[in-house]
Amino acid sequence: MIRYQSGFDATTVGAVAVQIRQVIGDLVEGEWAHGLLYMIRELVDNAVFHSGTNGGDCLMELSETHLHVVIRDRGWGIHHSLQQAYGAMDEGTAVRWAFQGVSGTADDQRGIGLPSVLQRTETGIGLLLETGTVAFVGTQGEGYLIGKSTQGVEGVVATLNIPRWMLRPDGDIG
Amino acid sequence: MVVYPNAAEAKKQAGRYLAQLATESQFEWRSIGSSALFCEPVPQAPCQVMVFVVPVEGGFAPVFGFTVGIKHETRYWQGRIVDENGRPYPPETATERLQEILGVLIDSSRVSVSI
Repeated sequence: MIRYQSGFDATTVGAVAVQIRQVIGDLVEGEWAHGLLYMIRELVDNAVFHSGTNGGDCLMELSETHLHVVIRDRGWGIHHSLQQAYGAMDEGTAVRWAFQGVSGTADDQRGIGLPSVLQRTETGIGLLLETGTVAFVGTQGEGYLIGKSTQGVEGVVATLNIPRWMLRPDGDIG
Repeated sequence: MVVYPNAAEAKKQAGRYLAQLATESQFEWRSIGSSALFCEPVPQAPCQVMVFVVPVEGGFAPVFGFTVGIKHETRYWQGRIVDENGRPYPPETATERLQEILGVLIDSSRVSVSI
């Protein structure tokens, strides 16, 4: 498997964003690259500003069918983050709220938010966000809360699946 | 949501949900009983779909349930195909939603790194 991988935190996120733009620009057709970068930026920002760990990892990998972009952090997860601001709630409710635009951050500090990420799955990019013992699937602009069994996910793991037809024919991860 | 007045009729219709999935799906399903299908599009993400009957307001309705992945070994997900209020979808919508969700989970399972 060909892979890009880099950790980032609040001090390095700018440099890593440049690398990510370069890789996506090389791999993904221009008409799709802009929206994809928008999604990645939101997920990276969430890891930096909402995870409690000030950062995370970005991984990219080509499979037979897709480019996969994984943004993950080892922070306290969406559930904990929203409980801090709004009181006790179950994990499913927390994730639903997050995709409805609710955040533990003050209004004037919010980014474009997970609703925008979900909306951009209309293009054909698949989204799987896992946190704690729940998972959220985004496809065709719609979101579905499902369960994740065995062990829960520490922090937040977001996987974007970009179909091969969105990629440049000669694209590769160097 | 399509509601049937009694559980027996809903169960009868549930079989049609599975038949429709088996004939219209992008995946190659095989029956593993009267109310379940199985497929293995990639080794790390075997899928099982069940259809069961739940009581709803005004009667009973069939609902798809699914598992994807290998429990206790790798990524494993499970869920039901219901709307945000927990209500079952009508059969055509349920079949479409099920396949979209399974598609994302199967695609995500192709990532080789440890999540």
